[in-house]
Amino acid sequence: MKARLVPPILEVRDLRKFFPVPGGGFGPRQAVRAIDGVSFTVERGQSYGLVGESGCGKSTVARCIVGLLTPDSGRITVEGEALTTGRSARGRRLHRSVQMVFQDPFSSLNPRLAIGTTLAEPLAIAGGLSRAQIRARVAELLREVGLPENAAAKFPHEFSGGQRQRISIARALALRPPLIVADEPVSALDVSVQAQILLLLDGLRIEHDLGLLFISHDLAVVRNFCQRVAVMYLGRIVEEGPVERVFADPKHPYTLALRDSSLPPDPAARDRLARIEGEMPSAIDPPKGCHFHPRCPRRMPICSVEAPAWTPFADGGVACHLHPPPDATVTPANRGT
Amino acid sequence: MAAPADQPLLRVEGLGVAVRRRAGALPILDDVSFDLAADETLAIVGESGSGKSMLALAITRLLMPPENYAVSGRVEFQGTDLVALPAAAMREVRGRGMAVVFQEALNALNPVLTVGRQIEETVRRRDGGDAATARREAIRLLDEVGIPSPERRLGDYPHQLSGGMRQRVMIAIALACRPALVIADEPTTSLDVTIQSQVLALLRDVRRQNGMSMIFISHNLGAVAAIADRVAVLYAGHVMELATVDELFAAPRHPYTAALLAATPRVDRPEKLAAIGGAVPRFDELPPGCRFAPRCPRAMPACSAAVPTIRAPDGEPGRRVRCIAPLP
Ligand SMILES: Nc1ncnc2c1ncn2[C@@H]1O[C@H](COP(=O)(O)OP(=O)(O)OP(=O)(O)O)[C@@H](O)[C@H]1O
Ligand SMILES: Nc1ncnc2c1ncn2[C@@H]1O[C@H](COP(=O)(O)OP(=O)(O)O)[C@@H](O)[C@H]1O
Ligand code: SF4
Ligand code: SF4
Ligand SMILES: [Mg+2]
Ligand SMILES: [Mg+2]
Repeated sequence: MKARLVPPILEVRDLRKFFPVPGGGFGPRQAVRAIDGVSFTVERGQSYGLVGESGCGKSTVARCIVGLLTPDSGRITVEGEALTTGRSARGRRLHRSVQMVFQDPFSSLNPRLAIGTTLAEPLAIAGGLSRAQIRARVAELLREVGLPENAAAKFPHEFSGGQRQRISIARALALRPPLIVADEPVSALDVSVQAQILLLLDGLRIEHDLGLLFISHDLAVVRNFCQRVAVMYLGRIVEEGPVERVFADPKHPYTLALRDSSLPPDPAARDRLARIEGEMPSAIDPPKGCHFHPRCPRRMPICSVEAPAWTPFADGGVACHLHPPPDATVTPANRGT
Repeated sequence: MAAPADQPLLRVEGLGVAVRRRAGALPILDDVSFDLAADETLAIVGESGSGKSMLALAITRLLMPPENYAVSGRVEFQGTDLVALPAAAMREVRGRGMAVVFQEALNALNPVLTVGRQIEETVRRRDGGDAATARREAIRLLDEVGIPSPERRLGDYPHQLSGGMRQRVMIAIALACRPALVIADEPTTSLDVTIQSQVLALLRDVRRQNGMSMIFISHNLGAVAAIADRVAVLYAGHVMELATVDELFAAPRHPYTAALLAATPRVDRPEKLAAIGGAVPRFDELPPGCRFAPRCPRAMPACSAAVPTIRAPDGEPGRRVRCIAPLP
């Protein structure tokens, strides 16, 4: 591993989280294998995309990082400090400072609190600021996300979906966190408003040198707003790398299928309407070997027997038997970055 | 009564829908006009709240309860005006002439009946016939919409199926009516991209194979580009532009169409996005004149003087644009 001066903003190593199956009383204990060995690294100032179909485990990763869930195993570090357990004082502080923006702009804000109160709350809890300083910071936050100062006195129902997402972003920024986790932040918004919020997030990332974990099922958005991307399928990362490489030259058949199923606004592409077969199976009993093999147009006999190892590239990597690692002992858990 | 050969399958003319409220009627859809030829797919594209579903419900007369809505204008289907049709005759049209596929198949399907029962009932309503024939037809339809081992799926209840499979069942029920027109309202919106792509391909194929026409409602420009022959762009209850799919995407004439395209990220090549400032107006606070004027980069005082009429731009007789200064 090459020596580095600054630790990355976020390092996730071999994260695992299973959920017990409700009502699965008899027989062998069953579990929803929501995330099963996920590793990736987000650098300062980087927008990192996490993509995959619904149920593949994206939100579970996000909730582990911001401390809403406790992972079964694995390691999460923010600026080099472990926060997996959240037991140390610094770990707890970091946990608090890693902020999340949720998909649903209608349920993520407390309807009974004025916007100013919602934004002041984390500042008051963090302590160290006078009332006047808190007021000034709230005004600054509103300005940063493009809302008028009088928004502070209003309530969530007075705002549109896009404006509420601005408020959520302001709340996430309140404690000047090094990292924001945004879980499908624009999925519920109309195209015209979606672009406003994406441009806002991108501007804030650049201005504050923020790390941004950007979770999305929309590959077009990730291609345009992220520098790196990890593609997830049934709880595992199947491909990772710089967005340009991953989109222009996907190595994993699932990445290819996902890309070709995302339709560009262009009638010239209509004949490419992809026909990837089948649906993502249940995470309770994922297919043996490569999780993708029942749907893979390129599967081989080994694919249903053995899970493919992680094959690192110069930048990024893939887990697929079409691209065997030069040294078969490398796994996503111990690969160098 | 058979329609003359040169008549479109569906002609919507000056359609208006207002919501009746104690405070007075609130107009939503206004002056909506378009034709749909046999064997054609027209997409209605627009952002949330623009009136897409209301248009589908007005055409099919499914606005509920009807007394809450004031519908004006004409909806001529196979030569008959549906707006004035008695309810019983309208039910007949819905059972045989047109079928609807909704976004949320789970709400549209009956949760306590097996999918087999629901398809068989539709088949028998249309054709009569015995149970065995209806069952065979149900199996054939499930097979046609790409459901594996259809015999075994007949006994499933809607909640036992995935979102994609439920949408296929909805399409099978629509096909069971053997309609001349299918209206699909956001049929793929809640589906993952790989499943969305499967369902779009299916809709396109069954439409072609059965020689039906389709009104495809969506806010997804990618889906529209993949499936439509012509496109109507809806904004705040007005059709802003109506063009063939190739014309529309290659050279939008209405500033709203252009802005929508510029705000849509592409998966095939990264591009600088341009956001549209502001937000869609509320129907009780519509701006005077052009409804897009407060957000339009080309707006001028004349735009707010009167609602622009929708008309063909110079040299493009097949196209319609509601703008006093269309893009060149
Ligand atoms: N009964 C009603 N009372 C008041 N307003 C109504 C009523 N029914 C519909 N509307 C309004 O009419 C407008 C059009 O609604 P419609 O459901 O057709 O939009 P849409 O384009 O289908 O949106 P979406 O993309 O969200 O499905 C909306 O602003 C809606 O709030
Ligand atoms: N609290 C929970 N209890 C049980 N299962 C869960 C819970 N949260 C998520 N899951 C399951 O874990 C898997 C991953 O879910 P999630 O992380 O929400 O996926 P995504 O965000 O990619 O759609 C799914 O199978 C989901 O049903
Ligand atoms: S490992 Fe085999 S089944 Fe899995 S993606 Fe690669 S080729 Fe397909
Ligand atoms: S009429 Fe005026 S405001 Fe409306 S779209 Fe055309 S230029 Fe813009
Ligand atoms: Mg999620
Ligand atoms: Mg709708």
